[in-house]
Amino acid sequence: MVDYNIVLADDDDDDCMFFKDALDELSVPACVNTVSNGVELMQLLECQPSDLPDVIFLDLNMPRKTGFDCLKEIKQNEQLKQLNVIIYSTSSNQDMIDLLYNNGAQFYIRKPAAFADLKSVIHKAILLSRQSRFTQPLKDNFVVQP
Amino acid sequence: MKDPQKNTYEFLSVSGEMAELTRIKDWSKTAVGAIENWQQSLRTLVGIVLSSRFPMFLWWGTELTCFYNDAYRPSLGQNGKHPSILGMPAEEAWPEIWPIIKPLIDQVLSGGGATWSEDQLIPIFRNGKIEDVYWTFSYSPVSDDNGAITGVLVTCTETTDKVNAVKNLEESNNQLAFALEAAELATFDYNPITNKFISNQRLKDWFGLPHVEQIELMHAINVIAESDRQKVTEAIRQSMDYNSGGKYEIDYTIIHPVSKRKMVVHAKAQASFNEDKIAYRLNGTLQDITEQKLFERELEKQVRERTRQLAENNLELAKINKELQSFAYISSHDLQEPLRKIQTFASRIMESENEHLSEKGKDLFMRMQKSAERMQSLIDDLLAYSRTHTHEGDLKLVNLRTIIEQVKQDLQEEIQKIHATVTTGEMCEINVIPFQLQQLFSNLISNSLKFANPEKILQITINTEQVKGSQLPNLNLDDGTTYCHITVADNGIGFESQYNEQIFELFQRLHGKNQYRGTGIGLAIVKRITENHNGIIIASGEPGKGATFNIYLPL
Repeated sequence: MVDYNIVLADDDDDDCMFFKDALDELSVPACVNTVSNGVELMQLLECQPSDLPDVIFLDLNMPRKTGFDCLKEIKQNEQLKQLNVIIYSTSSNQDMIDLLYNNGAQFYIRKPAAFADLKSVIHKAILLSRQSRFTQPLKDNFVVQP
Repeated sequence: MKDPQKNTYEFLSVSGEMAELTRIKDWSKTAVGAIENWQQSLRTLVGIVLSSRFPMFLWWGTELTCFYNDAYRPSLGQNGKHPSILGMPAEEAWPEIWPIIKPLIDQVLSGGGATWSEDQLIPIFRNGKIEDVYWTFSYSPVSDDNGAITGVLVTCTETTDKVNAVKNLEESNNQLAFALEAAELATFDYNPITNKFISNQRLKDWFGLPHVEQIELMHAINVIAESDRQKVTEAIRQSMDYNSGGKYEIDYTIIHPVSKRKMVVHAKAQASFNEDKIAYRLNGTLQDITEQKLFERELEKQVRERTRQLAENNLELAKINKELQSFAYISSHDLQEPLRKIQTFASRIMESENEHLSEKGKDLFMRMQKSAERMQSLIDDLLAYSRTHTHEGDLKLVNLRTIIEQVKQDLQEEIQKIHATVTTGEMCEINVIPFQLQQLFSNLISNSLKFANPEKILQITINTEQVKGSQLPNLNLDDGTTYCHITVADNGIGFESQYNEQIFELFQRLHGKNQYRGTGIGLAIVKRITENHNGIIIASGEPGKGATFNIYLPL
């Protein structure tokens, strides 16, 4: 398996650490690039149009530009709209989840409390995203459970 | 019995009661003697009296013997002198008025000429009592065959009714004046033909008008506040129109020409029309309503002020409510983040550093995790509770069975774990916010599962039926509305009936945390959702037997 190219956009250092630790322990051959806000993410994507990540894990609550704003920009950008975006958030608001699905997010992960669950849900999401590249699942399967 | 043939004289041949009585009377026992001996003049006079239809009376001879006719008879009333005084001497017949009439009789007999009395009070005995009777009468002298004045002919008419009518009129005039005075009313009587009016003194005082009988209408109109003048003249003009019914009613302000004092009056009058439908009179009253108007204005001002305050308070309240809601939402949402991290850190330590911990340390660590879990469920429930404030999602017509089946599926694991059964009967179709109703049944079934009786297999029964509000008078429901009555009953540990309201309060729990898990929010959410749907919920329970929740949602 070639290195899977992941961008994690999250302003929380702890969450970034959990994410990387989880990936390390999963021994998934992936390289993770982290950005700490929406503006940074968009700069990263727009400056390297030839070197786009395989998947973006996107937190919603970020300073300067929220994850939801980033999602909309990505899906409206001809060059970026094929990107797989997995939402990675604390929230469990059903209205928000529906809105994200309708705006083209691929999967939704609610950050779990147990580290074991975190590992499990990240693993599942990466596998699912890989299988169904560039396509959205049915709405019932949008939220990935650990 | 006398021979009737004896009195068949032509002067007695007229019909009527008095003629009959005169015919059959035994006159030989009276001072005038038997009829056959009567002078021609007496016969003529008696004939005139009996045949006249004008009330007449005759006193004749030395004892002034009484004769009278049918027309006079009503003046004697019932149970009085009639018919006993026929043939009786005057003094004996009229003892009660003898002092009044004796001088008049004497005057006539002594050649003083006829008398004339108008509306004279002469009380007489009739109808079983002395009555005040008024008379207009004349006493005329009558002579015998020799030309000597021998009797007095009385022609009279009773005027009691007329006198009383005049008296009553005076009385009612006095009463009217009293009423006008008592009500402090001003009166006016306007003649549209002369364009003048007459009024009482009060009106003249109010308008500052001269103390003359007839006043030009314009003088009064000029006293009316300029802003009201046109509407008053227009109202008068309209009342003069036959088709208007002649009603005149208006409030206006007058300004006294000298003192400049303002006064608000309420005028009310009625026009009278002649046969040609032309108004010839408009009369009525004016009432001082200055105080009343001031009071009304003050009241209106106060009502306006209160309404404004209320609107402000409502706005403020809505704002505070919204702030509270978003506070509940945001705080519980943001609280989740650090809590989740505590849990993640803990789980990492438990996984990778477990062997470095002593047994004591492991126990303490587990307790810490339990606390974190409890905080997690508190926050989750609070979030759910704060979400029930808003009407997220529209009302949708759903069959409750669909919702309950979904809830049963979600709770399948827990239901199977204790081998519980959930039975549903007839189910209503009803307009609800589906996710809220799902939450409601989820919380109620979870509640039953939690409080199952360990000695019994838990049975949860859910039924619905339609009821009219009027059939449940004690529940304060709307009489005209049909309700879906949902029953959720179980055979769990139940509760004491004294707690049937407390269990719905936020954070209220009947059991210790170690005995039964729970946040005390679940049933508060159930109640909130019921109220969101304009329904009511009632809980009943019996310790050891079970609990029943009755929900009434309007259809």
